This record gives sequence, C-alpha cells and structure tokens, in this order.
Amino acid sequence: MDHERARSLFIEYRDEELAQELRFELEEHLRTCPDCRRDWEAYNETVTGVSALGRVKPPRDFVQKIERKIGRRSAGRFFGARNEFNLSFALVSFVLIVFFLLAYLFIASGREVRVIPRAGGGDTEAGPVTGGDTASGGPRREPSRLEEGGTEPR
Amino acid sequence: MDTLVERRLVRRLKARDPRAFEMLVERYQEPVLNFLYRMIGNRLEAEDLAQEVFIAVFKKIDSFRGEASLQTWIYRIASNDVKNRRKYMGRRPFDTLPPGIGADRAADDDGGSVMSTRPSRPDELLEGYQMERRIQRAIGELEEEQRLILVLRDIQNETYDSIAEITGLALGTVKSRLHRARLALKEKLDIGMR
Repeated sequence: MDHERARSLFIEYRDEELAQELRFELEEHLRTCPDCRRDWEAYNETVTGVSALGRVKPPRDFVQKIERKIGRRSAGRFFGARNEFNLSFALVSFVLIVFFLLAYLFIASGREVRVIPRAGGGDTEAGPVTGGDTASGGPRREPSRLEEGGTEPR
Repeated sequence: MDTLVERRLVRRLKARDPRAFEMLVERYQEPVLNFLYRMIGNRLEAEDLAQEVFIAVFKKIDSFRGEASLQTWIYRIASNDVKNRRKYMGRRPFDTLPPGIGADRAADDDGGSVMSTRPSRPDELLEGYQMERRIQRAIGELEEEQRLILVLRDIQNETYDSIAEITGLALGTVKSRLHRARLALKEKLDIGMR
C-alpha cells in the first residue's frame, strides 16, 4: 500500500467501516511507515478534539423569547392571545374583588345602624350601637323604632 | 424521535397548536443552538439566529411534507440561514467576543463549563479553554461547505445519510469533503502549535 492510498483510508478506518482485509493492509502499513503513522495519529487526535467540544446550552427563557417575537411579528395573532387573556383576567378579577369587598362593607355597616331617640323625645337621631349603652347602668332609653333588622315596638 | 410521535407533532404544529411549538423548541433548541454556535463562533449571534430558525420553522411548517425527518428539515433551514448570516456578517473575524461573553456565558448560566469534560485544576481549565478556542477558531477558518459537513458529522454526530439530505450532496461527496475538512483542520491546528 502506498502512502496516498493509506491516507485516503483514514476516514473509513476511523469510522470502523473498512473491510477486514483492507484494514489489515492499512494497519500493516502504519506499523512500517512512521510518517503515515504520525499523520494517522494527528488525524485521529483532531477528530477526537473536535468531537470533545462542549455543548452550548440555550437560556432558560429561550422558548418564551421566540414566542414573544412571533407574537410581536404577527401582531398578537399567535402567542399574543394568552398574554392578553391573562392581563384581562387579572383586571376583571381585581375589579370583582374590589366590588364584592365594597358591597360587603356597605351591607355590613348598614345592618348595624340603629336609630336612637333624642333626649327631648319626638325626633330621632342615628348613631352607632355601642356595647356600653345598655350595660352602663345609666338611664335606660327605649329605642323608638329600629330601621333595619328589627320591628316596631308594640 | 419516533416517526409516529413526530408525525403527530407536525400535525399539531400545522394546526398552530402553541403547546406543540413549545415541545418542538424544547426538543431541538440545544442541537440547533450548538450547531449555529459552532458554525458562527459567536454565542449571541448564534442565539439570535436560532430564534430566527424556529420562527422560520413555525412559518414554513405547512410546506414540510415529511420526506426527510423533522430534524433534517430543521438543520436544512438552519444551514441556509447560517450561510446568509455569514454573508451579512461579512469579513468580521470569527469568534470576536472577549472572554466572559459568548461561549463562556453558557458556563455562567448553567454553572458548568462549555467543555464536556470539565478539568478540575485551574491550569487544566485554562488549557482546556485555550484548546477549545483554538479548535473553534480553526473551524471558523475552514471553507463554508467543509465547516458545515465537519460540524454536522464530528460535533452534531449526524449520519452521512442525513448530512447528504441536509446539504443536497451525494454521499461520496460528503465523505470526501469531510476527509478534506479534517485534514485542513489538522493542518491549521499544527500551524497553531508551532
């Protein structure tokens, strides 16, 4: 086997695709030819070095970055709807929570308002219910009527 | 990927199913990004281009007929895009980013080196880093077609058949160009060591 022929077989030799007879022939040549052996070692080392190069890892938000780009370029037709939905969902949720909170406060405060007669009788005035009003031992005042949650005294 | 699973994924992609697109990106992001980085030698450019490749896949999925595998088809898009990007980048030197940016960022992001076998000692780390830079630079100096075939075969571990499909070259041409690419790279690395 001549040197050129031997070097042309390096690719198949490395891939282990050489027919057995040809492989023996090449190996015999490499044993007896220091130049070709050196060339083979350098060739093999080069391929091994390239194959050992590290893998570059994508960033964690890679998918989201692409989706955002598609969303922008398609004017929200693709990958834009979900964000809009999320935003509107959050907004509607917030408004509903505030609404129910206000409604609850309004109803709760209205239920506890009691109409208390003025000292002079006749007219009445509204005021909050206080726990000490009846328990204080002072002159007892009869409420003339209850506006909510009660009945007229008979 | 299993043929049946791939066919189902393609069907969902054609129906513009967002979850299918996420699955596609998650499945192919690493090989595509790694391929582009080794072709361009610049991490930020590679990342930007990888995004464009997946956008092109999303746009062109209706034209995918399933004659080749999905991965082969994606590589074909990526290799066309990388040629265009290289033209656009013009004669800018290969891998011009200073240390700390580019490939090194992968190490920062993931807490590991970009080298697959991480040396523990600082001198080994430096040696490995320098060797990687030298190989990457030598790859960048190869002719476009040689680089493409070398990266696909020796880094991405693609078969000769799929490389022939990606490049549109005959199998014999793929092998002879790969052989020439390896010899050229060996020469460049020898020159670098002197």
